[in-house]
Amino acid sequence: MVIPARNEAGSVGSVVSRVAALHPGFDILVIDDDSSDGTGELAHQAGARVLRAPVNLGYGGAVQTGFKYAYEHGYDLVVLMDADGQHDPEGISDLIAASADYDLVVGSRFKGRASYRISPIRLVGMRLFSAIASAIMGRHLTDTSSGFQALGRPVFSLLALGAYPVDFPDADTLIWVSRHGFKVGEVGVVMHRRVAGKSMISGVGSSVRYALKMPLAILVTILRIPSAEKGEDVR
Amino acid sequence: MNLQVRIISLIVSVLFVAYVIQLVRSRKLRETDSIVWILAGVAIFILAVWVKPLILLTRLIGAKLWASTLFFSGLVFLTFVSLWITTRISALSDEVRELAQRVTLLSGEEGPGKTEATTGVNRESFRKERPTQ
Repeated sequence: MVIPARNEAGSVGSVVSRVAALHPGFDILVIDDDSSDGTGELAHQAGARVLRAPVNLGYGGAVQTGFKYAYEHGYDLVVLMDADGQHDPEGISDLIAASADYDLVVGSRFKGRASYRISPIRLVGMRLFSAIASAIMGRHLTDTSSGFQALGRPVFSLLALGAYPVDFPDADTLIWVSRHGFKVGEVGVVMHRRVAGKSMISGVGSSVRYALKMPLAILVTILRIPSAEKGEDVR
Repeated sequence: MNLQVRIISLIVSVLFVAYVIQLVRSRKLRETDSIVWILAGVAIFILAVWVKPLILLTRLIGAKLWASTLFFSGLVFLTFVSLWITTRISALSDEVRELAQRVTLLSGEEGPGKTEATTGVNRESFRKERPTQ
């Protein structure tokens, strides 16, 4: 389990203990992204391993640190989830079950039993980029911006050793993975409201930045040439 | 080009190059990074002394005034310099992130399950779910 957390003291403890209760055999790694509110301490107390970043790595930077850890410690599967309590740990087993058939499984908020309300503008954006990504990948995906994912070793190795977006890894990353010949799948997950803290994309500025960055990111991802070898051999 | 402009250009270019050299001397600017600025100062100096290339270029690009050519080339030059600097910043950001991640991974984890034995068992349980490819 890789859980990136930046100033999520209000929720990280309960997320970690719920995951630990449901899946006692799993190693839970919290990447404390230079938090100032004791997030790392609370995660530690709840039973997680904690890696503390000395500077703000950004969401993508923290996630990639988790991938690097998993790569170096020889894990075969990584489940990525948020520390804010939005992702229901019940969904983990569905993700893992689906990872038998796919190299990367996305937990979708819009598929099946999602109980989640988002502002209409964000919804339009999420749907739009999902549709674009689906068209490019030739696979129907409903929620490409979800940070609730299960990644097999070849996929997280690719993302650990190669480039990974610092700010919002999103549809572009899925396209990148898919262009390396990996199978990307989707399962429905339950999504809650945030327990505490603030969203990564909040405010007009970051929304505009997001809306401008995504099409560009998708475009350059299409233009890039996938590494000749995939998975562990990518350097 | 009148004499006044040429004299001012000469003075400015000399002062500019002197300032760049002073920055390098006081280690605020690296030698390699200073080259582009010294060349720019030298270019201004040459154009102030030897006007012919500027007039030729003005005719070539169809401008009416040599001043326009000067402003235009200055703008193009500065645009490329700032683009180049931005790529340097991107590269440095990547390097800093890489280093920060390395520090994060090396600083060691806190929390239970640190022992090799536990990690080994847990790794095995992952392997069962998904065979290594």
